[in-house]
Amino acid sequence: MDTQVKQPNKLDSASSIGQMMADSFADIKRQAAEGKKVVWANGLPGFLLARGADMPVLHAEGFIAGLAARGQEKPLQDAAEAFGLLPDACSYARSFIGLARIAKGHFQLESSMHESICKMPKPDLYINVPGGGCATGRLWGDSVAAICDIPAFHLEPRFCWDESDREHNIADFVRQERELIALLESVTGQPYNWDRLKEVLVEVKKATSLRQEIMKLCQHVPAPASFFDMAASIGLVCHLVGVPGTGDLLQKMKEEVEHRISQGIGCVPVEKYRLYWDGILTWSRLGVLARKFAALDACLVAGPYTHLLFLPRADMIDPERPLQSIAYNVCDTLANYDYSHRVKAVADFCQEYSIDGLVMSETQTCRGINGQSFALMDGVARKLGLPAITIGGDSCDPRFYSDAQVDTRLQALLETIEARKKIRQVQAD
Amino acid sequence: MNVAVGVDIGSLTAKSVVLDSDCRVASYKVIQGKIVDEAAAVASLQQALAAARMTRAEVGFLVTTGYGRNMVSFGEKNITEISCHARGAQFLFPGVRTVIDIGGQDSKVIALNGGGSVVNFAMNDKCAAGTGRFLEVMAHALEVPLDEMGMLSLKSEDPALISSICTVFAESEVISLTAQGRSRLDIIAGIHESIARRMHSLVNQVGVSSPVVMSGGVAKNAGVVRTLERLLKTEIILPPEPQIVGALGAALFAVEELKKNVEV
Amino acid sequence: MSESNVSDIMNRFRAVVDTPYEKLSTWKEANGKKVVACSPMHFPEELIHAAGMLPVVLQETGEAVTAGFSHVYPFFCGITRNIIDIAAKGELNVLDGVVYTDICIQNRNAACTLRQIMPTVYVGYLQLPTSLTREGVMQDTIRELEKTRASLEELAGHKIDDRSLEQSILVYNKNRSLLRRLHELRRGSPRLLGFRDMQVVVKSSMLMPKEEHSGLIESLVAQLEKVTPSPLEGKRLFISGHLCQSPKADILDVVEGVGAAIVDDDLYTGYRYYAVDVELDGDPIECLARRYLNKSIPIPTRSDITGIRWEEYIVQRVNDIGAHGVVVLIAKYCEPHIFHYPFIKQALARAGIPHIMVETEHEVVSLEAVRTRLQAFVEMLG
Repeated sequence: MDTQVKQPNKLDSASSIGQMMADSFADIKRQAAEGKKVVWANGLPGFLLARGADMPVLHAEGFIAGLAARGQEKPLQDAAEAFGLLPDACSYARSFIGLARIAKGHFQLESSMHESICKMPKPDLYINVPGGGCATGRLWGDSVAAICDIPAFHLEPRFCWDESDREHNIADFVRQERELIALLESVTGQPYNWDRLKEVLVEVKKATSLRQEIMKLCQHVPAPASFFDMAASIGLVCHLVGVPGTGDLLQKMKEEVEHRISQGIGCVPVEKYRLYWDGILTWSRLGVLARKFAALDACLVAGPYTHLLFLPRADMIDPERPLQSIAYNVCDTLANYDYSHRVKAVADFCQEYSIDGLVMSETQTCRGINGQSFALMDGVARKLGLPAITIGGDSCDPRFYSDAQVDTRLQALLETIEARKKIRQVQAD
Repeated sequence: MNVAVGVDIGSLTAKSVVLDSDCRVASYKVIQGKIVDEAAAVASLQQALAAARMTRAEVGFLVTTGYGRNMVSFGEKNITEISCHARGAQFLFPGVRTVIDIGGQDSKVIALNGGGSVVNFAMNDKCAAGTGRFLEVMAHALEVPLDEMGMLSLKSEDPALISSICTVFAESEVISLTAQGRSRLDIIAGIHESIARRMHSLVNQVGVSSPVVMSGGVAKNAGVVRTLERLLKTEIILPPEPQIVGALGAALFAVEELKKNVEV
Repeated sequence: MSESNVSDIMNRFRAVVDTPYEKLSTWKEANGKKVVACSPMHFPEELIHAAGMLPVVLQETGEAVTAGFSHVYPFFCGITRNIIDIAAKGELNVLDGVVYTDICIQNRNAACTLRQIMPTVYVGYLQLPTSLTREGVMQDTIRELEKTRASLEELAGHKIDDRSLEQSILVYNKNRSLLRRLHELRRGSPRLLGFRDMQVVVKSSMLMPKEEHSGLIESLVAQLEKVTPSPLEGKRLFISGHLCQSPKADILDVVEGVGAAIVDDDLYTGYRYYAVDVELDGDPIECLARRYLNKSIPIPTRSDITGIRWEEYIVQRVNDIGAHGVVVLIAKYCEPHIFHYPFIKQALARAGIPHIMVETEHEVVSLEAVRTRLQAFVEMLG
């Protein structure tokens, strides 16, 4: 068994997502060729509202993450750096700005292969909804808008600094959504298609509810699916959010997960350790990381990026009240609260998922998702006594990842967990 | 007859070039020293003068350049290595438009216009990645003589990927790759790819126009040169003595000063 | 007391600016007033002043980050790491309150972290709208300012009435106009006051009672007006950037030491701080709101497509002052600046204005490297 390489056990049902994503990007190209106006967006609300206006819309993070996962992001980042954008800047932003430059013909790609992968139709409108309230979304949206000479609309979810702000924040966001709707009407020259939005939300509710159920099923020991599986399928609630068929696919995934539970099949060959991931995924090294964890008998079970950030409030989605549904899913998520909420949410999370230790990915070009990481580590350590490590890495710039560093630190974490288990064993005896 | 001298005081080497007033190179000398070493700078100056059969008194004008240009007690003027490398390269290869200099501790790209003036430059002076130091650290880690690295790198057909931007992390990647059984040649090639990629980024900040000349000690490394040529899609011209280009440029500025004084 | 000598006045300012938080401790004891710090760029200090408390703008100190590493990653900007660091060391406990505004995600995270590590100090958050072309921004701004006014009233223990607020606005407008006067004097004759010293003047305004500061500036201006301007030799440079934090004096000395003079700027601890007054022509909160929404100077911490773009503004200012080139100073990891830089680079190239971009860090790592670049830049200008 020692000489056999332990491979992660990926969900079969998730394998068709790649094709669905590719079809969706191809569809945007087709619609653009037919003369339809194109929206580029980051964050989900703008995305959903643009779908309601029957506009082809490209999801920033989704598109870039996909490229990074296949090692195809470099031309985009080169395009951004050639423009003068420093590599310190958010790699999602850099990649998307690079994409804008390529779309406008400001940067020449080296080959036709690169063209087919890295050239998307230029946008007519940019909608920014900052993920986690991150103002960088606004900066990157404005950059794309300036490069493409198009309007940019920024939805600004108010940060919930005080609990008492919550209801006001939601109402305020709804007001901003209405303003965006008016803009979409003026851009398309059509009245807004509220029926379409309702249809979209019906599918979204189905999909996100199923996704929540799947995640909950992974609280089972051994976990039937991992954080990597949830990451690989995140497109279903991001770029493909509300697309017909996503609900059905998630139903299949749920059935596969339930089947695994009934058969005692785990997502890694041996599950000795259950771990939590903080920060954005290191998209360019997903495969490497998945194999690394599996080889060490560790299951990376869950993390906020997949579980708590993208439409986590499935319960608050009511297709009859679309704007409120969306507002809840932006204003009442973990990202919109400060450390005290996050510590509690993550501590609860760690208990629900029987987590042994925390892996905090630094996500080095991001200064949003990891601003409270130390408070989190400290808080969770105090509440639950869980050990944590930080590892270098980044969302989609592979230059920030060091394999040797991750190996060393991960092994140290597992050794710590092992040592603590032994101590508890001794104490129990 | 007076001569003009340029002295390039780098962090670990000192280089002197002696020119006569017709800009013919009378002599040059490169000395390895300690960090910004006045003694090494003086030694290179004295030895260069001796080789030219000149004395200090016959030096009409002396320009210092390089990291230690302000730190030595001699010299009538100091000019940065950016201007000096540009000047030196342009003298050796009139019409040069891009100079890529990879030295021991830093690297730079200089863009010149048609008239030979510097119009833009970019420097990597914050970390060792993409400099001679990077190669030294890696050569040491692999127990390969530094001057063999370049040729060895050209023998690989499948360079290993070393993605870290930090020298320290890259070193640990190299160790890791060695432990995994990757071939020496592939790892060495990967190291050279890493330097070339770093330089490529720097070049992109300034833009590349042919002809391109490379200066600095790392220009002697055929692996870096060829890999860079491939990435930039352009031929790179190499001076016979790439390390003295800065000192040569400084000496040329000294000749100009000499001429000015004579006119006055 | 007469402070008639330029050197004496500058020493007074320097004393305030060196070890600012220690000095505040002494000041509090002597004056028995509360001190409330605000984050840089947008907070209307007049609100704090009107409450009878001393407003100060958070300043970066020269300390290396140590304790702060347990609270924030190293790839956050200098002032964020530094403020968190000194807070962790207890050096900000002298403050009765800290109020942050929403300018970037790092700032927001800093506010959250301070709330966590300084539980005895009031930490407030003023969420001004950052996308200025949306509907209702004026009402949003007013509402937010009123909310903050209420919080400050609670902290002060009494109301902030409109009359006091108007008075404070007048005090602040006066200080700004004096700083503008000094700025104009420098524009005419840059060697009158080194740029490093100008920074000291501006920073001290952010750290001491405005009334006292204005008195000192009046004397300073009077003295400097007597000096015969000498013709400027060397290259004239415009310095742009460095939002929030003041550039280290060493860097400025290097710029002015390589045969150039900084003749004009758009730094926060520079022209931005005093360029625009509050137009007092109605309800004072509304007037403060209007100053925030003023578009005459483009500010990258907000999104506003109807006003002039930052890069166009720089080109205008450079042509106006007849500068030979621009030094773009980017504080490492400052995203609002990083994202605007490519457009600035492009616009300067189109306008035929040479520039050099220098990244600065909290820890001054390699002054020689900066010196080489700046000297090379000046050599390049011919």
